[in-house]
Amino acid sequence: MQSKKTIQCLADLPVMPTTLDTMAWNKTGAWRFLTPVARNKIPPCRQGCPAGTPVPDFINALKQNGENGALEIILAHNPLPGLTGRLCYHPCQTKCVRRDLDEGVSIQRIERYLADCGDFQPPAADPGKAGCVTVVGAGPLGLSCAYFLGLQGVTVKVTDAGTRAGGALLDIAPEKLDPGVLEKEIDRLVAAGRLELSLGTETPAAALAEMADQSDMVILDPTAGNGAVAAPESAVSFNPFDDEAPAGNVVAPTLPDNLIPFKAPMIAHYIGAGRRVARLVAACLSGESFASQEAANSPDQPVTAEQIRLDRFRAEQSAETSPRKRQVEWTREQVMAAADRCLSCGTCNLCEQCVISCPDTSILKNPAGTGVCVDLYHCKGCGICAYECPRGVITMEEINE
Amino acid sequence: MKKVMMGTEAAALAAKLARVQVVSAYPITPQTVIVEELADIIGRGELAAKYINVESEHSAMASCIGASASGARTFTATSSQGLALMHEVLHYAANGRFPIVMANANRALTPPWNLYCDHTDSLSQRDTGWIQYYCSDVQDVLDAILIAYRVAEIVSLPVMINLDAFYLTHTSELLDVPEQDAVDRFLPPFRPVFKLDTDDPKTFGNVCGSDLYTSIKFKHQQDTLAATAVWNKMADAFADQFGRRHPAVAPYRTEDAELVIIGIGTATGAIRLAVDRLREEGIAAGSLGLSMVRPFPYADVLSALENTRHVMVVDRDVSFGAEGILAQEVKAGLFDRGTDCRFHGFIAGIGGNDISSDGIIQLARQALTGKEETSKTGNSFWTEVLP
Amino acid sequence: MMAENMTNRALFTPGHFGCPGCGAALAMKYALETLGSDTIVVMPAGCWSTLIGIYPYSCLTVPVISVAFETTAATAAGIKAGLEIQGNDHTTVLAWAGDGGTFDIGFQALSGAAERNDDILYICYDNEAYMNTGIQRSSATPAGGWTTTTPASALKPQKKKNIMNIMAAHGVPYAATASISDPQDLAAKLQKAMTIKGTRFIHLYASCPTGWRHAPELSIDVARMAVQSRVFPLYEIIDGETWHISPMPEKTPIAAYLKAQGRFKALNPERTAAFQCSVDNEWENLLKKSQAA
Repeated sequence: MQSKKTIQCLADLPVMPTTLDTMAWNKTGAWRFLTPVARNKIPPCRQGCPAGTPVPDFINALKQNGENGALEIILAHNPLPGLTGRLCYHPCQTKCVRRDLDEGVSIQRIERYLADCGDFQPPAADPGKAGCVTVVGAGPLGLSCAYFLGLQGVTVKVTDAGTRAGGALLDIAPEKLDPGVLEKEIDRLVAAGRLELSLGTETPAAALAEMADQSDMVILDPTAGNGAVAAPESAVSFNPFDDEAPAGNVVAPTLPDNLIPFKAPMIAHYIGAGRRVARLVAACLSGESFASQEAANSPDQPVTAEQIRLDRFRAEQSAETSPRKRQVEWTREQVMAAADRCLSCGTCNLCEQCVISCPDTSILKNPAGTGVCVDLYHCKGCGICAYECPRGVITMEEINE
Repeated sequence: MKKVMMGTEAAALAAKLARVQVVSAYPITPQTVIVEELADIIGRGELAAKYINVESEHSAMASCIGASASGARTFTATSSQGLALMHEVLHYAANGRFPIVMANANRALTPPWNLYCDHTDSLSQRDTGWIQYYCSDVQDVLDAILIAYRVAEIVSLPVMINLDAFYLTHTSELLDVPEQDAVDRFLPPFRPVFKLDTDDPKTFGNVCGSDLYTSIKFKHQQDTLAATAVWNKMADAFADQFGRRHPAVAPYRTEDAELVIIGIGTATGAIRLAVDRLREEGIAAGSLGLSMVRPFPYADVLSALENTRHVMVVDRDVSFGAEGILAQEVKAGLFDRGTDCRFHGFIAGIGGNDISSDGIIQLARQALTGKEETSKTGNSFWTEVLP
Repeated sequence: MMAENMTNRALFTPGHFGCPGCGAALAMKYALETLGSDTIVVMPAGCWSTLIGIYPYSCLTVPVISVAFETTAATAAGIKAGLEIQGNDHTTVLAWAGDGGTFDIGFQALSGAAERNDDILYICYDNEAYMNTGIQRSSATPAGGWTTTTPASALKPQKKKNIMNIMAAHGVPYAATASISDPQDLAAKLQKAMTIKGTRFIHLYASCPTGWRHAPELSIDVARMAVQSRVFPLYEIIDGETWHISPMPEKTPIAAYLKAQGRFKALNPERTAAFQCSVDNEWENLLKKSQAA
């Protein structure tokens, strides 16, 4: 980058004053006061999602890679998208920034479609070595907790007194939730988490102690419905939302008042709670502090609706942009049309507005094709990329190099 | 083939024989016949070339530069005011090393308006870096343009072929016109040293630091100074092929001359006649026609003046606030050699006044006797001035 | 790198001397993306002849010739003639001059080329002053715009010269306005221009943070505001007769556009109203011409 052809003597001079090389050697990056930093931020939809599902990420993946890639992203945050895609009260849609432009994006419909039509290959069976946990009760929280523990390499066994898994979910009317869908979702969850599911297993309180000896920890699922096991006195109740690590090895996570009793529309909250429990338990098992683990995993700053450049998008003429809500199943075409409407707030979707608008060709698609990168040798720090990014991904920061 | 034609017609014919590819045309008296002839020659398909009817001389030279930069052999013609208007771009053409050939009809500058013969126009452009050649007769016009292209394309410098307004532009002579295939043997197609080429993209002539600029100009000067030898060599080659000589300087009876009279253009003819008559009177006169004024042929000039005691320069031009331009140039050359010559500078024939052999003889006698018979201001004696 | 029709080499490379946020740099980047490597650029004195680099280096990898200020169109005509006589009728000869080199000192040559209908593509990147020499007024400077030769004590009284009307009067086959805020519109116009023979003229609005006194990150947005408020509407003129506005601007008021730029700081309410009035009148005229088709 820094070398250049030079003229050392008269003989090197061409007859006519013509150039030898480009200006690439010129370090215009030294002019900079502020440096553009492209970093995804948490969009309002995700901020509202109790499961923390990265909505623009899965929508972008659907558009770029198809259903399977998109489903994979959802499953990393929400193992039951077929359920949330039908039951959830979709706070994501309420927060959708597009509502300020014309109409919000039908996120739930997209998620449901992906859950129903996406193909997910579970990983090869590989016993986790991060510890051993038994979850008593196969309700949404228990299943979610088991799943996330499984993803973190913990060997998990889920037991339930009932003949079918689902816990409180089994109480939902079939018109609202087709039993076939429920079964498919749970099957996938079990396979993806590499869980051992033991149904029709009663767990009397007395057996808990023995269970606790055989596992590192026993977790009692408060959403197990009829399969719920009453917490013995020795069990430690803990509030997963307090960020405390559970003490003891028979733990009973408690739910806040607004989640008791089980309410189907709040399904995402139970899933999110299940993941919190899993994280706290995993931290406990590994001896690492929960806070440092979360810090390593946590995404960045949130982005607000005000930071999205709505003037850069065109409102669609017709108010009838989404198919009628009564329509039970959306076609792929309808889903893709909905996906196209996502503004991808805070999330780089390689629209390349920054690349196009740079007067110094100093911000480019990265070689992996996953985002953009800055040519720090040449970038003058003018800030156009940050300003022109319609979705708030790029910020100008003072970086001392 | 023999043919009678005027200087302007000869210039147009020479451009055709040289197979120029782009002609920029803007009219100015007395060059107009050149651009008119070429319009017809090209229009009739006798010359495969592009003809651009530009809207000023400044644009004429600019479009020549563009055409030359693209790799085409290029020609234009102008005179006096037009040449002066081109001044900025003349520098560009030479600094840019473009082998453009231009015919310039030497005409007086205004105000007051004067369409007639005067050399101030081109001589005041002597610093622009163009090779400058002054034709003595119409044959010289035709032949010099052909030699000029050969030289220009070897040294990568533009050449100005000067012809006296009306005395050459509108005077007919009997010419020896070479055949096209003979000219083709003398003048091969243009092979540019550099051209604007999308397969080998470069930027031409952008901002340059002082250090490199100096070296570029040094090399430019080196190449320009070397052009005299190149001209003489190509003139020799031309002479070998066509039998006519057009060297950088034309000495006449200078070997034993005590008085050498220096002039350019058509006046050189009158000067040679004067030399012969002076010789008949017992005065050892000689003359030196300076065909080439840039690069200044110092060596050739000094060798012609080796034995003389009087140098007389006839300037058909004035550098206001100094003296005749040729006088300055010759004096500079003599100073470098060291001399005890007497020097006599005359301003004659400006604004188209005739320079006759009688007139030259009178000036010569004045030089030799020291009697100041004509008007003087500064260092120069002027003819045809009101009492 | 970006556009699909980019050839193997990048035609516009970094390390140039343009100010941070330079609109003129963006203009050239966009133009070359569409025009491609079979282009020869004729560039007179101006921001570009300085920002391109210092000899013997240049940030462009197409052939470029740096010419005397007045001579852009004439040199371009000469190059085109030279290419054609050598059998090359495909290379685009791009005359690339600023507003000073087009509206003022280069005007004669442009008029000459246009009258002859020389086959050149002439793009005027307009930053509305002689920016390279330090922000002096040109005939492209808008009325009331601060420059160093029209300071607050002597703001420019004359309106911006209407170069498009002038090009229309020459009857050139294609003339169009474009803006760095609408690169796709510019690309489409250049694609169209490349299919036409004769003199094609693009008047390209190129913001200048240094001269217009706005934050460098706003370069594109200021141009966008100019288009949307109809200070600089986007339209085409075919054969000097048919006027076509596209796309239709939103007609936002000029206040935001003026406020973003320090060069309009001295505009009092009266001058601002006059400015709006002038914009409205010119728009009406343009509308009439476009409807006359």
